Amino acid sequence: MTTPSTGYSAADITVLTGLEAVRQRPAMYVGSTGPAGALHLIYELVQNSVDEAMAGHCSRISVTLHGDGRVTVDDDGRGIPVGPHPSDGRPAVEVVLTTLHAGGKFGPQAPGGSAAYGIAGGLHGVGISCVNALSDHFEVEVRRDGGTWKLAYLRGEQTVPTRRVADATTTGTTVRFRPDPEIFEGVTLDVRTLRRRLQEQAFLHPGLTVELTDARGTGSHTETFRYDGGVAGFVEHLVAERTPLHPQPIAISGEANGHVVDVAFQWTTAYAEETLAYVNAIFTSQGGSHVEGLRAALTRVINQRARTEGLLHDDADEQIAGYDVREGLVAVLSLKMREPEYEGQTKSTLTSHSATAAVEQVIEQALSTWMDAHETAATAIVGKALEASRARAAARRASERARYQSIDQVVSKEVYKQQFGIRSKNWHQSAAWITDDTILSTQADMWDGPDDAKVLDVCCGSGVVGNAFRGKVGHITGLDLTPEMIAMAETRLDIVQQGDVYEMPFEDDQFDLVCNREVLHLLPRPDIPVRQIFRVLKPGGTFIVSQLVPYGPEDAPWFFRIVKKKQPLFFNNLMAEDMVKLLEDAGFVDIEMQDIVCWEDIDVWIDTWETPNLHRHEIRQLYYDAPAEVRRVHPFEIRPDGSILDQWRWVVLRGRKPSA
Amino acid sequence: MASPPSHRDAAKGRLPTLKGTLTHSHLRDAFALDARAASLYGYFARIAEIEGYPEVATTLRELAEQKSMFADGHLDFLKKAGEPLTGRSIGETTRNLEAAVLIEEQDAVDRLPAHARTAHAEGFPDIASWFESVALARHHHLARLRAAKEDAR
Repeated sequence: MTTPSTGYSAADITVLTGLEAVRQRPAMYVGSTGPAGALHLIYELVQNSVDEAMAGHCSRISVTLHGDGRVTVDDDGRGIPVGPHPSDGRPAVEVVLTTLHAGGKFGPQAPGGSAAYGIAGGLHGVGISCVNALSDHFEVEVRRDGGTWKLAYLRGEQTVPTRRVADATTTGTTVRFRPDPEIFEGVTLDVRTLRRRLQEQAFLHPGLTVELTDARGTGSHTETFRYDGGVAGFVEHLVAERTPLHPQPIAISGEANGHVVDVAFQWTTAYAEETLAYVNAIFTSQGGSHVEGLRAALTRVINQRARTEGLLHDDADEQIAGYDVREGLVAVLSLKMREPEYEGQTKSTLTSHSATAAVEQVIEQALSTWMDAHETAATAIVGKALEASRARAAARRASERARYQSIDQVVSKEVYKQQFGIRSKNWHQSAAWITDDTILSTQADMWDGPDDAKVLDVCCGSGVVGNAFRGKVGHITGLDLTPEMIAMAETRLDIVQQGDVYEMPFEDDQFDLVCNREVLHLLPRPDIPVRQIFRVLKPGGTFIVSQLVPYGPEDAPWFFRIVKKKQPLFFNNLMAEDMVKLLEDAGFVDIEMQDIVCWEDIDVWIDTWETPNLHRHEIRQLYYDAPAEVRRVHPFEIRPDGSILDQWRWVVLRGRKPSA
Repeated sequence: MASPPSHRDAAKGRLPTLKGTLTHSHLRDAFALDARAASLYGYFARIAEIEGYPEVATTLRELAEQKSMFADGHLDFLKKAGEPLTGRSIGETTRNLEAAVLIEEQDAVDRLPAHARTAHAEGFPDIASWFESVALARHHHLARLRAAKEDAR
């Protein structure tokens, strides 16, 4: 970012209001008095340096965490002005450090105006004075105009006046401060969060070097971030853990109506979308009008291309929806504009109308041109969007087909085969519960029979459930519907047969133990397989089954909506009591039930073929907006990045077929 | 419905009673329409947000908010003549809770289980399960409302 070279002198500092109240209500200014608030102090200072970099005057920023709780932020910018401020005669640096809403970014920004900063981020518009007020030690060194000046404060009160202490051959500002322990009590700075934030700034400002030194432990450790690849490099970094659909990110830069757009994106073979959007280097976590422009451009270009390639059914007026276009997309959008407008104080959503059209305009033409030049990649991208769109329609049809057929209690095996066949890829990585030790060992521990028992694992999947009984039983047979799952289970079980649970391919009275997990609620008639299991068990035989269930009446409807949106084949929201009843009704006796919990990573769980993108967003929203009644009974966690961990409730039941 | 007596009452210098008038029935309809629209637009807003139309979402949310307020306005008039679901007069908390208990009883005990049976019979096991889940939650609500009624006595 370059702006017309302008002076930055004491006259550019505007005084708006005083610094009262920051110490009384710190959370109002920096978000919290916890770890996030303390980090925010560092971000405020870093952002000042970044603004210098955006104005073309700073090439290096370094942050050091010291063992005594102090932090140093140093840059090679122009240095805060030290000359007398025109309105009150004090050195400008003192005005900046003691006045809320003072700084070079509040001056006129009209075109042709003489502002020192054309475009600036600034966090909550409170700036460095806030950091000063909330520090029990605050020391500034300014290097500019051939001199070095120093001054210091204690909780906002000046302890050392501004003095020229030496000559200087360089320029820059160094701030060393300590978040006041009276306010940030017992807070430890989280270096990982800080690291991510600094790395992000290095990505957004090609050529800028950002250093992070952690000198708190034994021996100091420095990391240096410098990325000349800009947003494209950022996308490559994000995609590194995934499988890209095409080799290089698509990078587009351009300007429209005073909006400078830098965007890079790449599609991956995953399902989830990740779009990080920034306005003047500030992260807009909820997106907004600029992201809307990106989405509109992608949807339009991909639909146009699909249409001209003759891939869409014209007679059905087929269209690929935006959320299908974005399946597997990783994008970084950086917009620079004057006077952006946001919803709320935290700048999480951009509302400036002009951004949508500008972003859309820059991307649309460039993406079309790129696709013309990269035929193979374009075909893969359009093909994936089309596949997503058709898979979503197929998933909807699948549940409808299963539903209509259930009228005569006939269920199309094809529906399940198709779905679980596709899901068998990365089966063990597709959710935490599949290999969760607690569930598997609880099931195995409930087995109290002989060690030569003949076992059947129903809907064995990859065979981990049956395999958990190894050493406590004899021969283990698996039963599953899909050839893909059978191939996986054969590596763990003694023999695996293909067949379905409504009509099991076994004689009566064959097994000592039948085990099953997480299947019954996917069936329109769960009673049929339970009766079948009862039939194939020897008299006196044992059935051990585990099932994901809601905690109670409070979360049952909420849980229903989440699971149904994830899995269209979810037919029965079985409660713990329903499980007992299912076993009793089939004739099982001596029923015992154990309750266990298992943390599930919801973002991983919903990243599957059968869950359309819209549903993934709706599921997240259901967690974010969970009603109080639900929250009281159903524990889950929303991490700072919006990802979700849910403490699922599982029940493990054991029932016996009466002896003859 | 009773004969509309309003103009005659007005002629006698009395305010007409609302209960049983066409206007009473219109207020009930208006309440149902606005309450439904508020919920519907809230749902639409969430989808608009996901599909990347934050401005549309804001419009829908603002309309939903207004409609909720309209529904409250209809209730202001309906208080005495009877709230729209049970026809009981409402106003103070004790009366409101009586109406609420009645609503939950009807839904949890009769209406929703009957809906679930129909859904099963018509071949919609998942929708049946949905109704059953809601009925379960409504039973819980009934218990909470009964406890609240005790507290408010």
